[in-house]
Amino acid sequence: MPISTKIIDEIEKLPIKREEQELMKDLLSLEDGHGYKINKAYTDDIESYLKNHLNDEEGL
Amino acid sequence: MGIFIDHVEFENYRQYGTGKLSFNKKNKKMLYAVIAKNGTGKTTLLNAITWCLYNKEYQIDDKSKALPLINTAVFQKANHNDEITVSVKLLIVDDDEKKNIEFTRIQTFKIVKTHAGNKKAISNDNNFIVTFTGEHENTEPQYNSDAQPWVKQYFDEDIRNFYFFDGEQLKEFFGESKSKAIKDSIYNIAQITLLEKCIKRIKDIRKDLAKEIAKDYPSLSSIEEEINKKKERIEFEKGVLRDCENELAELVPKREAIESELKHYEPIKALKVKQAEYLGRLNKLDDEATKFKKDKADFVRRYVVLLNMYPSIKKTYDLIVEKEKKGELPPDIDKDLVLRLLEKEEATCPICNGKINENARSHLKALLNKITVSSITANELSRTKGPLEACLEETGKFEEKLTIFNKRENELERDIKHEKDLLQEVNAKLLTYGNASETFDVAAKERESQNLQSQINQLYIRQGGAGTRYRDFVEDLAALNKKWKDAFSKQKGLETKKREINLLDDLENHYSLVMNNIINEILQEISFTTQRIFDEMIWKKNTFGKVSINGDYEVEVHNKNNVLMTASLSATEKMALAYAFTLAVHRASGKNCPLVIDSPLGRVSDENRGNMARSLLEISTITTKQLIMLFTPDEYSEEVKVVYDNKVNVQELKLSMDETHVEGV
Repeated sequence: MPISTKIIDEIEKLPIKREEQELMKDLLSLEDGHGYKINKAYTDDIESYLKNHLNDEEGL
Repeated sequence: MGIFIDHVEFENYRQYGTGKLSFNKKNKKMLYAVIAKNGTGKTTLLNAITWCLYNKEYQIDDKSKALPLINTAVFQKANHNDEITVSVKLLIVDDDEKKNIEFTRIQTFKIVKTHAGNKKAISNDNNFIVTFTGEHENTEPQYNSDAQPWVKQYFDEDIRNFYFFDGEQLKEFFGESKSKAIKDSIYNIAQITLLEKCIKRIKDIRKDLAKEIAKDYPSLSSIEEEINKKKERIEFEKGVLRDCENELAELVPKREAIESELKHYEPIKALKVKQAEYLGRLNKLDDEATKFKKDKADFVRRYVVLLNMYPSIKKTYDLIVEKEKKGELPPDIDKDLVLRLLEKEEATCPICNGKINENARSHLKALLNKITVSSITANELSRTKGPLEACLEETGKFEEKLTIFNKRENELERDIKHEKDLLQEVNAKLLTYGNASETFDVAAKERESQNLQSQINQLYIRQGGAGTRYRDFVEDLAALNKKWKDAFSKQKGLETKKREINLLDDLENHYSLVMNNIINEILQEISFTTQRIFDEMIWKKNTFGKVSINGDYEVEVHNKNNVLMTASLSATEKMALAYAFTLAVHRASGKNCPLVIDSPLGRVSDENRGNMARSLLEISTITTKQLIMLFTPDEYSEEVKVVYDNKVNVQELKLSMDETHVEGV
């Protein structure tokens, strides 16, 4: 089920980069059982999603 | 905007049979008054909803003694081996999410023949289905365990009283066990639980990563070991706290239930105390009366002799006195001595030792002649006079003593009668409670309650100790983590790992911050809304002060001088507090769910009904909250009608003539 607007608002209030805010939202969705497509591969694993995030960051 | 029950659809369900009860929005009226006599289906409507959502009919006390779910008329017409489907469908409109949610429970029955030749319905399958339809999506139906989380999201069973409210069951509304359920449910609805799970996941990933790093670095390894030990201690204390909480959640309501039962038996208890007191006094008086009867019998026995002898004693005494007066009873003179003195020629007086001359001799001779009664008889008579006098004196006291005895006898009879009257009065009062006064052992229940209280106290002590240790260990762990991080950052290389650790630490901190902010925000919002609605509903403006709600979601009311007065609230005030808190919890959940209330004004006194009815209408209008209220015709009194006429949707339910189905669905 969708992440509540209260949580989204609180995350967006945090003084962090937008990418990190999006990461926090994505991780919550993953924890809630939603899968994501990472580099064309579908994952519902937080750890690989995090590694992917770090790789993306490094790439930037 | 909000969430509404659009309709409830029945198929062969109890007296509703097959039909539909609509609550769809009409002219923006958000308040529905369903008026039905007792036994018409008011409570069955609540049961239908809870059966659909939770597979339980909470308003049926003893299911084994209740009729089956199947509508009576349908059951009567059914033949052996027929299959009957019973279902209840609840269509919810979620305006916020722009979707409709249909909750459906279907139970099938097979009709079989019993040994006695009667019909019996055997339950077969029970299925629960959730279907979503909306502007942008039409999802596949979800079944049973997949469907259940949606119920939790909209109408969490743990706090079902906050959606399906029974005005007659107010006492079950507040209490420690309820506050825990409220907290858990709010955490679930507000997705605090999801944040907690996410934080735990990140901690686990970090732990594994730290373990992997520590393998190659001994200095980090020793700190890591300390960290793990500390974490184990923390987990242990958390376990103790959880156990205490669970045990308290079990024991506290148990004790509350006994105390509430005892409260119900308080008049019996008081009467039993009086009964024991009167019985004790009566027994004491009975003992005294028995002893008194014996004393009186002894007294009478003794005086019977005296009284019988009285004429003879009196006669003898009078005779002696008379003889004394006449001088017929001479002084104690020894006739033989006088004779011996006269026989001797030269005798001396035995008193003065003088010589007895002729004159004395003549006097002695005259004396001898004068004495007509022998000195022995005279002595005997004189000796008898004393005891006779005592007997007469004692007999004279009879009247006085008898009066005292009679007086005491009357007093005892009066006291015994008084105690017997009191006892009879108390016994008559006890009889009005029927068998309950005999079968309910107040003393045993009190002992059980005390025993539970002592267990609860022990648990509080254990909880306090574990809480202190837990906080200390958490502080130690924070210091160790810092130590680890400092040591880790000094290591050369390991740049990727460092970034990973930093990211995980940041995520944990950020999620914790979000979680704490939401927890505080929700608590503040609930406190504020409860206070506001309670103030609006209460017409006493100079009595109540602050309404406080603590972190465990326990509600307390203070007076203007900040003195706690929750326990002193009247039934009407408790009702207002319950409504205020319920509506605040709804608001904090982020979902403006409907509220179905059975007997909404049942506990509200006549003069306050109009005010309470008006407050509920205003709240429903201002917050666009759907309120479905199930009234009896008596409860929907003139005061309520005046407020609700033309402003609410009114629907009357009636039982059909053959009492097999509800008309109007």
